[in-house]
Amino acid sequence: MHRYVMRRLVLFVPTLFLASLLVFTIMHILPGDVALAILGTDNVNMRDVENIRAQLGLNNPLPTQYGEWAWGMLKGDFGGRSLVDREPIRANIGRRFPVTIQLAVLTIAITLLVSLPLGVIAALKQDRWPDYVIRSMTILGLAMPNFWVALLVILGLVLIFSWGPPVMYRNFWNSPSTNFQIMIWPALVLAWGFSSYLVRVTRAQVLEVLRQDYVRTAHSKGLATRTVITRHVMRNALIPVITLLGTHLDATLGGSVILESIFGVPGVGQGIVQGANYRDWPVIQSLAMTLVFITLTTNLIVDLTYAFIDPRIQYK
Amino acid sequence: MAKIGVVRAGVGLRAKRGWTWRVWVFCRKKPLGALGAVLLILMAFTAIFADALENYDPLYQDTPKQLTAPGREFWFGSDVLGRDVYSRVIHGSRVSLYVGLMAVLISTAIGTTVGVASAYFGGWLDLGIQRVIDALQGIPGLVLALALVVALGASLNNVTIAIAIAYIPRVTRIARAQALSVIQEDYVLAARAVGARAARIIFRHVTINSLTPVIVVAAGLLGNAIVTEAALSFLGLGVPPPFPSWGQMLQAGARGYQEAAPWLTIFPGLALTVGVFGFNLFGDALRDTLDPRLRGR
Repeated sequence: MHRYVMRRLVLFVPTLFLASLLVFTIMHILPGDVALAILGTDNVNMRDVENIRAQLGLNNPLPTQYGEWAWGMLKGDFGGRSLVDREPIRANIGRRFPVTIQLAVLTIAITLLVSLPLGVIAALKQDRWPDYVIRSMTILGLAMPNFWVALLVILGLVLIFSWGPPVMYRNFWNSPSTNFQIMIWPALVLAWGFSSYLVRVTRAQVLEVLRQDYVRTAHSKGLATRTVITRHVMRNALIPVITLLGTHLDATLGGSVILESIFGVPGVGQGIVQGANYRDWPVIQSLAMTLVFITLTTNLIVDLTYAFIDPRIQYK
Repeated sequence: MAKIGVVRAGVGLRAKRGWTWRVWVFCRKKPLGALGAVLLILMAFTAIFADALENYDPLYQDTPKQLTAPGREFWFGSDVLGRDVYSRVIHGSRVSLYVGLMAVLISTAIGTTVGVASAYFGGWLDLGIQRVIDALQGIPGLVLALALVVALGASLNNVTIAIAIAYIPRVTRIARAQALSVIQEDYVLAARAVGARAARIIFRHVTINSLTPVIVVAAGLLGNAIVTEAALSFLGLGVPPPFPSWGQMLQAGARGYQEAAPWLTIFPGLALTVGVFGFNLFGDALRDTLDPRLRGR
């Protein structure tokens, strides 16, 4: 297991490096002159173009540009300023990062609270009405795109309750209730899609474990059903569920990009979308890298946790 | 003589049980999968015959009749420019199907080739490819597609390419894993022993025998690709207007007219959901049929 943990840790750095290289390459090598894009296409003065290129360091060789950006990310100034409002990207990320983390934590908490019990119930009541109800909900949850659900939620709140989530975002420390009224909706929508997946996996796992010999042994030595379920079934069924939690987190973060925009939550995802609309590539680049960092770190943590929980795991 | 007759009858029956029989068995064993297939056929039918099914030109603006509620004239209502939402939804299926199918086809072709090559040659190549795939997978799919569209510019084909690139890691992973076990098989050893060249072994033996799980994954990605296209269009980074796409219609509906014209939000989303639902059901049934070991993943 030490070997596994070591290898996993050692691989983290090159993966992060390659991912940053990919993000940088996408934003730089593909066609389109950034300076021209900033100035707009009509009546460009060549001297202005040159000024902007020099100012952004676009005349430097690409490796130098990459080095400066990567060093900036490590040093904590996150690659300069926004092209649109000249705001330092550091301030931008400092503002948006906690918001996205809060949304992610809330989503995962709701998902776990809801999907684990439902998955176990569906498996224990296999092919009876609770199973059918739960499975229908998951089929719906997987088929309905989360941004459409989000639009329907807003529509429903406004039409039925004549109430919409607050428009002005307030952070948790200043105004917990306003913050909650905004954050709960995107979290619920994301959690529904996420749990639909997790419920199905949990159900399949529990069903598989129920057929194992050690479960029959536990029953035959006279343990109460409740004890068998909690001690033997749950513990063994939930191990793979934890890994899936990690691998599906990137989908949740990806989903948060669009849901943050719909619900006006000023997180990293909304920042990327705003940056994309203004072709503000330094912002997109650094914010995307922030999301990549969150994803890779969570995956690392999940993999390590997995190794500790399940001693059978070997690095393959 | 009677015996021979019976045998002949049996042979005859088996010959008649061609693909229609198999389809029938599939429908009976997997009713949900069959429902999915029916939905997909309906969607393909809609896309192909969109011009015949439309009530109006999807781009025609009948401005005085803007934001009309659904009724006899406009089945799904009209949008803010007075365009018929029903006709636009019908035509939107073309964009969805085109982007979904092409993106999955491209990512499957590239992903399989890379994955099999990575498994076959091993060594540094494998290590290098795996690290790049890890890195690519570290970027959330929608963010990757979004960044690519920003860099390439928003157009139908660029959106397709962006989604295809975002899906390459998943296909590569599964193709590599499967190829690794196929390479151990005796028939690969036999091919090598009779002196077949690497290209022949890779394409005729390893790739062909690694395809089943790849197809299962690809089928699962189809519904996903349609949602991603709609999401990009919703964010204004997809197929450019006025060409109708479901995501872009949803965006137009969400911008200020939500309460006044809920039909702008309901119908394109419903079409999208039905499409994804069909792909998911069909993909699940295909997975259970082709590869029972993957069930529940």
